Amino acid sequence: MSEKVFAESLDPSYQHGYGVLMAKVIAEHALSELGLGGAVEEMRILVDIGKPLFAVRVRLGPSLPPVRVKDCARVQEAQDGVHVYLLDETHAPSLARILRERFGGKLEQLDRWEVVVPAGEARAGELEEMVVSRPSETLLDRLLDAVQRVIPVGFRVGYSERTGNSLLLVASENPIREEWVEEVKEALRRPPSPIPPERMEAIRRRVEKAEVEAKFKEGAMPFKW
Amino acid sequence: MPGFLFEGGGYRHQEMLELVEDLGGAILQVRLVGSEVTITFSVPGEDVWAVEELARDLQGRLRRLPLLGSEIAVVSPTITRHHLPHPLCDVAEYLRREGAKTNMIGLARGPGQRICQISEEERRLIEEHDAAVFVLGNFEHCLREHKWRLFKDLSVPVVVTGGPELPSLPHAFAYISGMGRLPYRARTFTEIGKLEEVARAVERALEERRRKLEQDPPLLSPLVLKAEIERKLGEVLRGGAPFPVTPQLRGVRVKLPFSRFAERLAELEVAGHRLGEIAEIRRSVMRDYILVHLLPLSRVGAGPGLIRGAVQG
Repeated sequence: MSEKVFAESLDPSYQHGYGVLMAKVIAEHALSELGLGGAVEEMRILVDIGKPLFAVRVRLGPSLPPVRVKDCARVQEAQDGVHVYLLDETHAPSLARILRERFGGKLEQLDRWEVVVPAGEARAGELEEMVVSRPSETLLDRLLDAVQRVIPVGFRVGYSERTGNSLLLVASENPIREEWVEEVKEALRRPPSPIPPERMEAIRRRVEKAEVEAKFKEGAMPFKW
Repeated sequence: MPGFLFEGGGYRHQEMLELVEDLGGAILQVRLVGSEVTITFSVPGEDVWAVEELARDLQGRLRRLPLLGSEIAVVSPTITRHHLPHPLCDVAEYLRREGAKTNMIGLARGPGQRICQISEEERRLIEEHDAAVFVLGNFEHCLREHKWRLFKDLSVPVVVTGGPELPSLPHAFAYISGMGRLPYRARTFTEIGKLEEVARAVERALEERRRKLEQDPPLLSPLVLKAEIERKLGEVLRGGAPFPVTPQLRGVRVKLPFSRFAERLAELEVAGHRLGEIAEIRRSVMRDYILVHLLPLSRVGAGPGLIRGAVQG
């Protein structure tokens, strides 16, 4: 996977400091925990801890298409009506909600996965095209959650800007001045400055090779599974 | 008295309990689960060999608990997910494994630089403990210039952990790097080594406090006091908190309501004295618990016992 998270300091005297590099590690963890790795194209973190100022700019990838009934269920016409057979249970709550909203008490639930829309209420083709959920809407919530995890908790004064497919959040504990936002935008126009690999390696956790105790080595036990 | 943890079979574990009692030691906790027993106890240093011998005989495991008999506050600037759970829980759990009783405390207004502060109530709560561990963040500037305000007025020794490498921090007893804001649990040898460093720093801090207390020691050990209270108030304590009488370096914390039990505790006869005469009994900031601080020998018998807080209500 190509690098997506870039962290740098706006203060030249604190370039590649521990806190800045850890912000990158924390952001990478947040993106992976919230399953945003695929949706985010680039995340840039700018820090000036003396002011103090913390800015995060996220650029999203192409927006995800809405999930329709045909993407998560099989729809079949029968004599008693249209049978909707759920295939992907992750969409079960949303699917149940939209069917309930549209058909109310007329629905008949056969079992956990199958419901019947009575004949004459809707055609199979129409049902298949109904929108179950819009991932691009929930994406923004998850994205803001990720950004909030990166920004230190004490930085409660915020400035946000959304343009096209990118989102900029500037946070501080002091009132944010216009020139700070300009400084951040100016820095964002420049390409991210690379972090020396040896500095990043020093920060990342290393898993040491452990010596296996003799009693657990192969052949040491009196029996094998 | 060094503390130990004995883990072994339930069969013949009574022998270990009897030996500890015969040696003049104190038993803190006995947990018998199924056929396994875990005994937390302390014995005089010169008699450790006898315990080791019996543990070998019973084919049990004996582990030293250097922090036994202490209550440590593990403090974080907030209780948000930025600071919890990883580093804070790791530190607290490691100290617990070393024998300490830990309490995790999240400050109400601890984060930030200019805005970080500690309230009077929080300060008093932390000072009820024997030592405090502050788990702070990753920025050197914050640690050096601002965060020391959180612990500068505390009268207990403070061990600070944070991310960057720093030789020391103002007003801190010790500073341990590499344990700042982390998005993962401590699992590798390096990370567990850092927890070990924290535990050793806390041990040094407690040792220093113990040395100061020994210059004018109390009439009896807090561990003995704990055993006495449990023996005499056993019925009341049963069914309450899991560790109802928590030992500290200067006394014990009794997890009973102050308003109902302070008088009764003061009248308790311990080592031939009323407890109210040899100890200061006051209301804890933690819930409505009772704090019993043993008075040094120089103050025992100086006058009638103090029951502070009873008037305050």
